[in-house]
Amino acid sequence: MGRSKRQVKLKLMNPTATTSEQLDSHYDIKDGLTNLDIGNHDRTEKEIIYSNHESNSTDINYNNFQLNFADKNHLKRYARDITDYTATEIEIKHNGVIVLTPHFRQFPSELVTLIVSHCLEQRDLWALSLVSKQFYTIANPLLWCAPKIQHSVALDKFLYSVATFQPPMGFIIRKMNFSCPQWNDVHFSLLIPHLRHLEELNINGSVLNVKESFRHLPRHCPNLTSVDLECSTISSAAYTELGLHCHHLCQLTLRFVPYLSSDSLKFLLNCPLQKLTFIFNYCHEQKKCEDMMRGLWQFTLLTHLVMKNMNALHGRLVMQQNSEIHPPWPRLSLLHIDSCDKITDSDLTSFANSHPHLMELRLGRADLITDSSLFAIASALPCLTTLYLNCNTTISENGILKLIEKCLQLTSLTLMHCTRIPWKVTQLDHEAIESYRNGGIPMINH
Amino acid sequence: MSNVRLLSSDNEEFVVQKEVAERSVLIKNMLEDVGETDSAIPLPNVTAKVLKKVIEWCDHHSSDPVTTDETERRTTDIDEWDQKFMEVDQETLFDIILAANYLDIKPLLDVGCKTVANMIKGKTAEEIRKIFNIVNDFTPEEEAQIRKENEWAEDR
Repeated sequence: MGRSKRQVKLKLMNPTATTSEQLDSHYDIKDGLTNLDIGNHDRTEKEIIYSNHESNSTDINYNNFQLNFADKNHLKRYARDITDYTATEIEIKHNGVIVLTPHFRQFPSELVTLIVSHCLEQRDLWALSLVSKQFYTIANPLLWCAPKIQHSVALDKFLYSVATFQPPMGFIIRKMNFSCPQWNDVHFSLLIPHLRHLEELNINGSVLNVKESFRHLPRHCPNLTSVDLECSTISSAAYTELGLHCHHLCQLTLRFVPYLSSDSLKFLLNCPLQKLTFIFNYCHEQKKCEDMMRGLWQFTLLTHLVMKNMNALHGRLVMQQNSEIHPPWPRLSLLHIDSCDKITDSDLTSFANSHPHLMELRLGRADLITDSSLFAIASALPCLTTLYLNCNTTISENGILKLIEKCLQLTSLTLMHCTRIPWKVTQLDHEAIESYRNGGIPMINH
Repeated sequence: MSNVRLLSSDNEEFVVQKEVAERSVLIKNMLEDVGETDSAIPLPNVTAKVLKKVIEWCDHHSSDPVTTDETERRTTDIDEWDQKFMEVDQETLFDIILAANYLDIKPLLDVGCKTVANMIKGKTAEEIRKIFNIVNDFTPEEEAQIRKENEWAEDR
């Protein structure tokens, strides 16, 4: 034996993948060294053994570098050289074993925040919250900011945590989406007192069992800014409560709503509503529905108004509350009505003239309007970016050409089932509009 | 095309085209404030090794349009060139991120953070600690409490 076989052991304590990879890649250039053993990758301690079978000397030659096993400083430099790992502690043992202990990393919190902000899956945030105190401080508020409860087991655990721990976790919650079908009045009543800082609320799908408890929610959540409700079973008292307590509410979406009574509307006027969406249930009480349409003009801050599943007469009422001197919604930029069967050229022309900020206009089944409406839109709405019309038998390419010539911001034009429109221009995106405007044939974009 | 001289923390000088250097908002603002200058700009937080990588990135992306779209920035897709570029050891990866942060190069910072975020995805806390060499500084009691507190979020 004697001097015929020399070993340098590089022993890695808790090695990182990086370090062993680096050692791996360094192996290629170290001509004098053979028999590299990286060891078992699953073990936390690894020994990397460089042995030299041929040399009888204490030195090894590689790449013009003389390695002297007797010189500890020399070995240390060598180890530092091949690990390329500045924060690593290097210790040389008497028997020539080099122990590398990678320095535990302390990330700047700023960096952790940036990295964590790119991992927004709930499961990953959960794992990150358990890594260290520093990671907990950053990941935990994000985890609790918008909790997603997927099933009933999680629901029970969630309610337990909200009610048990200090400081109260519920106060972190800003956004809740109730889509788990197990939620009922009992769960909901237990939770809402903890949602003091809730800003966005979404109750959808099969969650229909919160009829009684929902009206107590606004009282506990004065900071709500956005509410999206599937409300076939929610009592009208709830809207009154929203109006009484939520003075920051600017976005309201009501799905399957029969109508809102004039009382509910009156209370909702206390909210600075900007975006209103109503998706109606078929309404048997025509009179109340008409009253509601007539009451909408009072929401003077509206920028977005979406009305779906409504009676054609009511669609016309929305547009008719207009008078040119006092447009009801001076800031309106988006209007979407899907039942425009009764809307005439004169309704639409006068509406367009009094709402010059409209950018997006979607009118379904607008069969009565003609090219003259398109001319009016072309000259009254310079900011228009999106126009959607369907089921019309009179508008022609003349109107479209005028529109494209005048509305220079237009990026999306859709004319479905408009029988006089050539098929090549039924659906145009930004580029197609651009080429059409310059006299080319628009590319088909279906 | 005018050039800019950059000086790394270990006193290595790099001569870079102005439009490449101006991918860094820090340098761009500095040049706007100072005007034309002959002296090298010292970057005391960036070593030559890292600065070389950063310049390589800026050079490749010198004609990219500036994206301000938050949703695009948030997606975890990384283009092929960037993926190759980020195939470096962890130490260098973190140094690049820190340098991008210091030099204020948002798109590079995003690519770096996305690369790290992709390494984290789907891992357990223990695996994350191991990958990044982070000490678990919780007491067993603290860790147990957090486990209990956040048990609802555990994907099972």
